[in-house]
Amino acid sequence: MRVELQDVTVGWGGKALLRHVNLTLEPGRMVGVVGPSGSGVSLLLKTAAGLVEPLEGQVCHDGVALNRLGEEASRRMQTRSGFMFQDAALWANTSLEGNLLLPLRAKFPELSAGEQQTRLKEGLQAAGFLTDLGRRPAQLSRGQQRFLSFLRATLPDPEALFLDEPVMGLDAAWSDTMWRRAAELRADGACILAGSHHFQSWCHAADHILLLEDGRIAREGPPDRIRSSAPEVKS
Amino acid sequence: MATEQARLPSRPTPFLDRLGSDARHRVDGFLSALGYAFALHRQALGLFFRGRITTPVLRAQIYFTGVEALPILALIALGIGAAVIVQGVNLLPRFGQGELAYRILILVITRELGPLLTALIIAARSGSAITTELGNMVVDHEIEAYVAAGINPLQHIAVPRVIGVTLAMVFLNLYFSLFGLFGSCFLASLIHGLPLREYLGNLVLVMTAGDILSSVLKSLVFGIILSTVSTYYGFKVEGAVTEVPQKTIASLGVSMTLCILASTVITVLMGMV
Repeated sequence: MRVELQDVTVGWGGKALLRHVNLTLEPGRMVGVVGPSGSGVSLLLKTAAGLVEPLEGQVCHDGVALNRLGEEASRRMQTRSGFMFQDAALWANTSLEGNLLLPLRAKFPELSAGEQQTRLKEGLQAAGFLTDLGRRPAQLSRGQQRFLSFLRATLPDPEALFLDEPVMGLDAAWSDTMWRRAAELRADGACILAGSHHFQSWCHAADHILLLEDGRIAREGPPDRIRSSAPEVKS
Repeated sequence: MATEQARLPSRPTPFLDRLGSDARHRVDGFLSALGYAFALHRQALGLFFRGRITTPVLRAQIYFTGVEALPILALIALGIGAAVIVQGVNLLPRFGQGELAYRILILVITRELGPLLTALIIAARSGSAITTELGNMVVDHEIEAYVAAGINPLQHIAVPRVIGVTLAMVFLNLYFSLFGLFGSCFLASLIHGLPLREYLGNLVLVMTAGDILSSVLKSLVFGIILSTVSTYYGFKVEGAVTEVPQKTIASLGVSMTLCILASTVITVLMGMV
C-alpha cells in the first residue's frame, strides 16, 4: 500500500499540533519518525493510519483520500492496515484469542472458524507466543501486552503497518521476532511507519527518518545522516 | 505599560455573545445526540433483521441486565405489590369500593410503577455500568483500536448492548408485573386470609389488553432510551479518566428524566385512546 500525507495539519481546540506535514510511504519501505515527547509522533502515526482526521490537507491510502470514503469503504480500507498502539490498547473484556481473531475476521470474513484457528496457531507459533489464549489481557505483563498488540496488528498481513514505540517494554528476543516479522511484511510489499521518542537501534533499519520538533518536520533523511547531524537526538 | 495594555482584551466579551455561544453549544450537543441516536438505531435495525449481532456481547448484556437483576426486582415488586394490596384491602371497603383494589393494583404495578421502577433500577445498574465501561474503553484507546482494525464500534459494542438492554427491559418488566401481582396476592392471602384463587380470578377479570400493551410499550421505549443514552455518554468521554464518573452521573440523570417524561407521554396517549 502507498500512504501519503499531503500538507497535513492536525489539531484540536483551535490549536495545531502537527503543521504542514508531507510524507510518502512507498510499498515495501519503512520510515521512522523520531521526536521528543509532545512533538506529535503518535499523532502523526494516527493521522497517517486514518484514525485522526486532519484539519487541513489530506491523507491518501493507495491514492484514495480517506476523508472522501463512505462509512463501509472506510472500514474496509482500515482492515488493510495494522496499528500497534503505544499503550497496547488491547480489548480488556475480550480473551487473548478474541483480541487476535477479531481483526482477522474483519479482514477475512469469508474464512471459516477452522481456517481462522489454523491461521492464528500458525501466527503464534511463528512468533513463539505460546500462552493460554483464554486469559484476559490484564493477566499479561506489560511487555506481553505490547507484543500481543503487535501480533494483533500483523496477523491479518497488513499492507501498511503503524508502530508506535515498537520496542518499548519488549525483551531482545521479542524485539528480534518483531523486526523479523516486519521484514517479512516489507518483503511482501507492506509499508511501515514507526515512531519513537528516541533514536533507537531499529531506526537504522528504516529507509528514511523524519525528525519532528514542535509539530513540524525539522529534518529528514537517511538514518545515519540524521543520527550524525542531530546530536540532540538521544540514543 | 504600553505592552501590558496591548495584552489586555480591548473589551470584555459581551453578555449576549456569551449567551449566544452557550446556546449554540447546547443546540450542537442536542443535534449531535440526535445524530448518534439515528445512526445507532439504523445500525441496530439493520443488524437485528440481518441476524448479524455480535452474539457474545449480546449474551453477556442480557445476562447482566436481565438475569442478575432478578432478585432485586423480585424484592421491590413484592414490596410495592404488598403495600398496595394491603392498604387497598384495609382502606377501600370503608368507602364501599373494595372491588377497586384489583384495578388499582394493576394500574400501579402493570401500567405505571412497574415499568418505571424497572427502568430506574436498570438505569442505575446497567446504564451506569455501560457508560463507565465504554468511557474507560475510550480512555484506554480500545475504541480507537476497533476503528484501526476495521471494526465499527457502533456495530460491535453499542448495538448488542442496545438490543440486550431493550430485550431484558421488556422481560424484566413482565417479570416485575407477574411478581408484583401474584406475589402480593399471595402475601395478602397469608396476612388477611383472603382466598388466593378468588383474588387471582378477579385480577384476571379486571386486567385489560390496554394494560398489557401500555406496560410492554413503556418497557420497550424505556429500554431504547436507557441503552441509547448510556452508550452515547460512554462514547462522549474524550480521554481523561476523571470524565468517566462525570459522564456516568450525567447519563443516569438524563436517562431517568427521559424515562419519566416518556412514561407521562405514553400514559396520556394511552388514556386518550
